[in-house]
Amino acid sequence: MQRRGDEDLAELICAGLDRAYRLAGLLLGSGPDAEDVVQDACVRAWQSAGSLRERSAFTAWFDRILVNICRDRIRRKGRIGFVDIEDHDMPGADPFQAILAHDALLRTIGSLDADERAVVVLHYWADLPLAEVASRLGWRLGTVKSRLHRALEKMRDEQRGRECALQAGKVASR
Amino acid sequence: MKKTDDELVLLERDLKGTLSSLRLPSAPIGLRQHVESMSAGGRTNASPRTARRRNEWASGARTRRIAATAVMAAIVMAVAAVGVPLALSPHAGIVPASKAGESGLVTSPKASISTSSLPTSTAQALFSASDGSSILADGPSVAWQKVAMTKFGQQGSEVMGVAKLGARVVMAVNVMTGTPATGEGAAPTFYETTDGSSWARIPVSGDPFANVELVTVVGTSTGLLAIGEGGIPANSKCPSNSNSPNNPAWCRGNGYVPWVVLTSSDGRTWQRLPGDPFVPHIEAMIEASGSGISVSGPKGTLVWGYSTPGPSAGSPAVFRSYHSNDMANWSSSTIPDISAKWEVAGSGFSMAFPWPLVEATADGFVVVSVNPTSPGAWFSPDGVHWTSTTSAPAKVSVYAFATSAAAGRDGIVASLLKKWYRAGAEGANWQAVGVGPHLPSTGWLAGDGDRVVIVSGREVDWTADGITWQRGTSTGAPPEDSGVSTGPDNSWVVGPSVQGWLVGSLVLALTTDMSTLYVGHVGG
Repeated sequence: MQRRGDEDLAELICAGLDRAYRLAGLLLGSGPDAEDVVQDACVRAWQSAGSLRERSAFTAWFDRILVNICRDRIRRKGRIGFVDIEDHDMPGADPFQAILAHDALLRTIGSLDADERAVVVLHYWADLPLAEVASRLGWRLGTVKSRLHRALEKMRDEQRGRECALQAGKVASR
Repeated sequence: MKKTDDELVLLERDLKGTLSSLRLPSAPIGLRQHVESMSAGGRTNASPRTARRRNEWASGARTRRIAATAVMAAIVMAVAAVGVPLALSPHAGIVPASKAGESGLVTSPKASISTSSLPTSTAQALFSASDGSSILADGPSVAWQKVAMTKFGQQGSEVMGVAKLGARVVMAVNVMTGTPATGEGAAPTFYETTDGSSWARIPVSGDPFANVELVTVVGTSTGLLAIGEGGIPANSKCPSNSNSPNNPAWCRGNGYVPWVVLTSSDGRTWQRLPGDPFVPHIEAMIEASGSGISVSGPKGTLVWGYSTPGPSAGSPAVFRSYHSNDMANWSSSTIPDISAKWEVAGSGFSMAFPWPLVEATADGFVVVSVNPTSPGAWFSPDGVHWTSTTSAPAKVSVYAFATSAAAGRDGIVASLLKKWYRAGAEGANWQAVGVGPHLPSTGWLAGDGDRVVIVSGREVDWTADGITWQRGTSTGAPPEDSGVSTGPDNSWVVGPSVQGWLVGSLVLALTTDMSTLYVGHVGG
């Protein structure tokens, strides 16, 4: 019976592995870190499989484990430090860093804290309704909304700051 | 105000469009295979806390060393994806063992002196196979006892190597001087024993290990060789922008930490070699929990690592080894066939290449590349001149479980995915051991360059060549290999959870959480 359960869980984890890796990569901005946390999440899932009541709830259940690990990691590390774009032209560059660093809008995600980043990625990338985001993060809906709003403001401010810096650079170079 | 709201709406729209149209990478095959291997291996009791802190440069050399260990973990995971080298059978192969790790490869420091070769056996075969391999019934037995690691320092102290020094066995420990929580500060300390039961701290003259943490210790023809990390100011912290050229070298994300090399003839008086014989840019040494960076045998001592032409991320990594017979004069060499295919993926410790297996055999040194793009084996009779021993190795898709190797007098034995493989002392002709199915699949491995032993439960299997095995029994309780190693800080990586050393008439085993030392007394 246990064996059957293990196989089911393994099947579910494997089926959702790409998504989990991408979610973690977006949250952390690092492929290697994403691998780390996905592995951690798998171990935790393995250990707490008993708390998964229904197969249909797997994605939400695993997301919650994964996002919590990502948030812990972001808090420990501080903000994502995106490296210069030039670095990404080198062979073997981190795929997530490359993707995030090449887009001005995505670079602003680096200015968000762990909670804000989780809300933004789950809502806009995973396309989850805010109520579902709240469920996965274990927050009230109002908290999700306020953090999302704050995240957008931060990103906007970051964009403005970069635009100003760019303009200043152009002026200075004339 | 209206403008601000409009800006947010536009931002939201752009964000949704941008994120939803991203073409993100799929999970690396190493990750997938690792996860699959977890399911294949069943649940573990491993702590979920990760050891893989590749980009976390906190403070203190110990943290950095753990981070280096984490590289090993990454390597193990990468290796999990590897088709591995050296197999003649399309279903066979070899993967480095962890710490792996780390990852890693188990290249345990080995005593260079053989004391008790296996006698020629006339016993009846318990099992035999068509390839000529057999398991005989008259192997030495082993009696086990446990020694509390608290004898060797507080929780968090780490054993970095075991070496034979004459009639003594010396164990090198980084004794934790901080707290388990902070993990900062470790004092290199040596303990010795002649019987495995009574251990005494070796008094070291002067303070040659000031500001140094041990990475490994190996027995050599002249005594002991210790390699440590040093030269980094205590409590130094790295800025967040680790790649800035304004930062110290060790902050730039390439794993560079200065090496300190010391030698001793008696374990009491140590001499630092002037400068660093292994510069420039040997970096990110893989140590702890099963991964060595040095081996010693009848043909001298080999230290290896990888170097980069510069500290920038993305630089190619070059396999480089240093050989010495007298520990004073070192000769450097590379194996370009391995190095050319290695790359550093991304910044920090995001190094995506598997660490090789390196073994000292009676005939020389064997390097086994587990790089999926350049699998193969190389042999050197002198530690300097290398030749490929496997021209067309097969590739297989493997998981990361169980990867380790040890050298006997007439061959090398390695484990991969609970299967046993062997090659000759020149590292050629790898093949699955014919009686492998009758060897314990969950056993762990140790060797001293003369004999190899597999320990599992009540059985101990001995061999010098991987062909003829002799089975003995264990009394007491040797540690079991869970396949997931848990570090002293509750970190974990996939790989052997037991590190073993065969030194003379003792088998030492340490679980990677460094909680208990197991001492096995080899009997008749």
